[in-house]
Amino acid sequence: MARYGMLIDTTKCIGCFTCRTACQRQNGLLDDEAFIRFETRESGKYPNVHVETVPLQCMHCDDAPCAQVCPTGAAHMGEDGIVQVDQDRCIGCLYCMAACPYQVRVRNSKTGSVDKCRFCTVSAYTSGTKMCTCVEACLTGARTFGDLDDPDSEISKKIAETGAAPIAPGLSKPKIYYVR
Amino acid sequence: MRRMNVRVLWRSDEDDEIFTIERKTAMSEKALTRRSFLAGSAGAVALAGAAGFMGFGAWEQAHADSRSTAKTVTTAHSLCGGCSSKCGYTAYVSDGKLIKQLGDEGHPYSRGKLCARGYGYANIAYSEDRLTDPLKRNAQGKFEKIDWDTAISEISDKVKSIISSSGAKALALVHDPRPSGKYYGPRFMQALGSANVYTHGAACYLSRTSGFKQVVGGGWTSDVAHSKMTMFIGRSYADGVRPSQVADIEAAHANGADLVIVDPRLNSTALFATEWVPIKPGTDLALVLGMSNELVRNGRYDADFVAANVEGFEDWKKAIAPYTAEWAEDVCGVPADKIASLAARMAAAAPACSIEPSWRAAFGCQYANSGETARAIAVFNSLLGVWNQEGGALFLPSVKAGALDQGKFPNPPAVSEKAYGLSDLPLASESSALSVAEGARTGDIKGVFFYNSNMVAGYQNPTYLGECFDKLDLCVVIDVLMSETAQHADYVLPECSYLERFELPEFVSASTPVVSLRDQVLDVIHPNTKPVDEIFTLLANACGVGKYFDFTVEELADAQLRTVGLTLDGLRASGTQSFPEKAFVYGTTPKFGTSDGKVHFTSDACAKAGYPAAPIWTAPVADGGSDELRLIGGKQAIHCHNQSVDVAALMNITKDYGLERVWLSSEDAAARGISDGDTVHISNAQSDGTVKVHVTERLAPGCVWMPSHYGCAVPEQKNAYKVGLRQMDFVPFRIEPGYGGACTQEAFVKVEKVG
Amino acid sequence: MMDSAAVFSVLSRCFVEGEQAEWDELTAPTAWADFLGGARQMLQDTHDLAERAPRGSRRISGCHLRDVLSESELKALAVPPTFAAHDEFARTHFTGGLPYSAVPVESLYCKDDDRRDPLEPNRGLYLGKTADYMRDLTTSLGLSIPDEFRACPDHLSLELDLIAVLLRSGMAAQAQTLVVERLGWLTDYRMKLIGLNEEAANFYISLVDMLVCERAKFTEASDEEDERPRAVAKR
Repeated sequence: MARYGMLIDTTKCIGCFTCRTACQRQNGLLDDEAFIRFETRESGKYPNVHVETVPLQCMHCDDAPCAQVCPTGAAHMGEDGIVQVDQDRCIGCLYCMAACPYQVRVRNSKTGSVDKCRFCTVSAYTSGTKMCTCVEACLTGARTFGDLDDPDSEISKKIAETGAAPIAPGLSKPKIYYVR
Repeated sequence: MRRMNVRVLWRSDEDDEIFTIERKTAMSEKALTRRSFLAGSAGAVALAGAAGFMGFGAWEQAHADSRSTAKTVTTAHSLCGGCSSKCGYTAYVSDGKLIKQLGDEGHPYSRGKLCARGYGYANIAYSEDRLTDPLKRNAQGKFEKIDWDTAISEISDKVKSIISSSGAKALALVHDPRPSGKYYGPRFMQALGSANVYTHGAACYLSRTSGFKQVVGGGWTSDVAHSKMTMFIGRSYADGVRPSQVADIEAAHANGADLVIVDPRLNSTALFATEWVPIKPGTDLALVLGMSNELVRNGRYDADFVAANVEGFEDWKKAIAPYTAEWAEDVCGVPADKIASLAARMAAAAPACSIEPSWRAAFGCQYANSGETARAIAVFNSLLGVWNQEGGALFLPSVKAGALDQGKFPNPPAVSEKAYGLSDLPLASESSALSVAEGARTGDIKGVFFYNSNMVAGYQNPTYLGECFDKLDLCVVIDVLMSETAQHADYVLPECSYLERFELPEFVSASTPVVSLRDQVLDVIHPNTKPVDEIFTLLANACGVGKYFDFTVEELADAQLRTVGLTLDGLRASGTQSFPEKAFVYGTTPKFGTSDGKVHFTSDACAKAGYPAAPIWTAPVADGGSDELRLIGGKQAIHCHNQSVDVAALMNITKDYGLERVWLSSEDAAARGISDGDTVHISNAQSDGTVKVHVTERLAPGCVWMPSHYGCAVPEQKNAYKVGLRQMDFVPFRIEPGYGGACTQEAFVKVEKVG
Repeated sequence: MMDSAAVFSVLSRCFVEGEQAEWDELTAPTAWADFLGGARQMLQDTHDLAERAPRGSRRISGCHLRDVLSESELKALAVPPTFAAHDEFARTHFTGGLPYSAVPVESLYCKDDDRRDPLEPNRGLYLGKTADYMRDLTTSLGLSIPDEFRACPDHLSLELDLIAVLLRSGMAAQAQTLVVERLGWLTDYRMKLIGLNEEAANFYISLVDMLVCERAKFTEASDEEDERPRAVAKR
């Protein structure tokens, strides 16, 4: 079994929102349903200014706080370490949204259920897409996806090379690593 | 008289006698009430049909199941419509819905990727705000639906009447060129006998292209990916996105190229830049003159190239002598040593360097000195001998369709006159749409067709332009949504969206030139919308010039492709086809497109037009008052001018992140007691309004930056209406002398805290 | 008096442009009175569309329009617009892309019952799920969507028309399912019409109110009895 994760190199993120709209198209999401959100930080004083854009989405935490609070088991750890939401079992109580340390779960305004990034590459293997939509769509190749448990995978090598780390220490055991 | 006593009528179910008003002709027995949209005059289906009934819940379940299993998916190669780049992509359609889009690897602009707009803007096809039927302004001034026959016949009557009273020269077309539109629209005008064809160029690239034309004969492409150094003056690849350009700049960055952003604002491309050079808006010319002066003073220009190719070098050299780096510092605010350093680094990188040609930005059209800035930039690149050198600035090849069979596709007679207003703009490389507004105001122009152009909101001051077009006898707008321009129309003709139409082949200039195709992706959604080729063909037929349109768009496409050895079927299958035999080769000095094939550092034409022969300092319009800030604008990666703002997938991003906010430097904000997130009042003689502010270190003091997409004034665009302010509202009407640019950043405003 | 099928057929004609002759015929005083009588009867009926006689086990309460409609709406209903007035209304409001568009298409009003901020409605797009459903449903009944409704198989006129067709085809239970499932969006559509702030809209508002009442009869009842057709269960 694989343990899938993602690496996001924020030194390459231009904040163009392509991953957001590509994800909406390819996954058939609503116009107001975004699985990826962005935080932009500006530092320094004019004219020596640095800007960083950080895309955030479900981190597929090994210890998924959302799954721990879900009363129906809708939010659960699925195969290959991918946190899933069984839409039919979601009762829309929103506990998981409160529990998520990264605020990356969104309520579907039509169904009332909660949804979030699905690491779509796994379903994409069957539909012929090469890679997660956001990884494939990124204009600058800021994203890498792969098996964290395989030391020879591109993502494992990149994490080792760059010292990529979770976005914030101590919140959970996430599977998205950031180069900053 | 139909009036009945309502109270009596509805008294109660006991007093049935009230209803005895003529029961004899009970309607239920009549055919009319049985006639059905679905079941025809029988009004019923065979009982066996009951088996076919499925409630919504059961259907939804079955539908969900069939989605996850095999479902027919069709694909088509097409061209994106999210901006003017027209990137090639493959559309995947299932059940009439666009379910997936993948950029085509072979298209030189997409190279396998689409941007945020490419995915989001596609939802325009299903938008609630789509125009669904031809509209006519009625006696009360309101639009109402009319049928195509009536619309076309009334429009053609007016066209004929204008021609008979004022001649075809009183008719004009304004369009933002699209693959089919740029063929059909101008052809229609030519068939009518009018030369008055205009593009959005005045508000995009007219000054730049005209300035370049004077010096090197035309525009270039910077070879950013292979450059050692590239300067971007105003242009931001990460904000006005074309995927291939983002990939190029990222590659250059990875290669260690020196990438410099000259911009009052630290734009999103900063990530890949080695240096941000903030500059006082409108003074880019001073920077370029200062750098040029440095090259000459230090003898760091390509003397061989100059000797072999340049006319007017000595006169130019004399003329720019006063413009030292120190002088430039005073004007543009960039320190002299920085200017010297930039010049020296460019010289060291030459010929693998250039100043990028840009679009609207600093010298496309926005200042009264944009044309002269463009000239100075072309001169600067020439000093470094970068033309057609690897990493430099390239004149890329393109392929064009050849002559067609005149029996099948006869060309209308050429019109000998120039476009209206062009003779007043001796330096303009093409006619300026602002001339049409002036012509409408004076009465010289009486009828205008707008195709895919929202001129009123986007090109210049909307109030002024609206007043001009209100004077027209005939104003026809062809578009997908209601627009500010359509608000001034007599007739609005609904086009189907770019996803629902086939268009003529698009030839793209590139290192290996290609031809690509916008194929139809979706069935036409609204039955009363039509593709542009059909609309102009209908108009032409009604106006008596149908003989120039007696072919289908597909016949024409195939004929065009056959002139370059291809077929429509072949191009449909691949989406993009390249012409490797025409591929660009580095190293040879180009034949410049000037009259004598030389590079002109001085220009008689400019001298005649009232400019100095050599491009020297010309100021933008004088500064505003001491408490005023220059209003500048710019693009965001999620929108294309004002075309995309009503699409919810994109406008939701604006709303989620407050992207409609104006930017103010922390210095200017502090001086006004303004904090981040405050609401501010922005005003000048042209307009005023309130909006939230983003206080930032990313902006040079002395200006306020307003994203140029917002402030939609069309209630029909329900997602975009009244979100943010519209930059053009604050711009006084002005045409750049000689060049015809729209001078859209020649505006100053007061910014005050509200409350 | 008109039967329910005819009532739905007439209603179906009121939300599209039509021909003058047809409109005149439909709204001639006697014909219109006949329609009103039929409508009144249908609304007051205390049984399912499928039953011609009341059934004790079903507690459907009839509905009196005069309890629901305002004076001005009643007046508007009693005096249908002339063809010219209807035609103008249709050409300015049942047409897309205008500021005063009020196109009666379910996809544009699709919303979740308990959705968030009512002031920020999630605006629909053409050819939403309900359009797909209507298209599939008509196809499976051996019918097809006329070309002029290509963009909107879930146009109110088609939904009403299909209800009429089902009633006439001995599928009253299915017709009632459609009434319950397909006409729920009319409360939103009603707000849209009211928002036009035009006297001419009263006629159409009163027709919509009639349909809202007719639907309410069954949804209220179905709250008490599970086997009754009901709005799609929320997922």
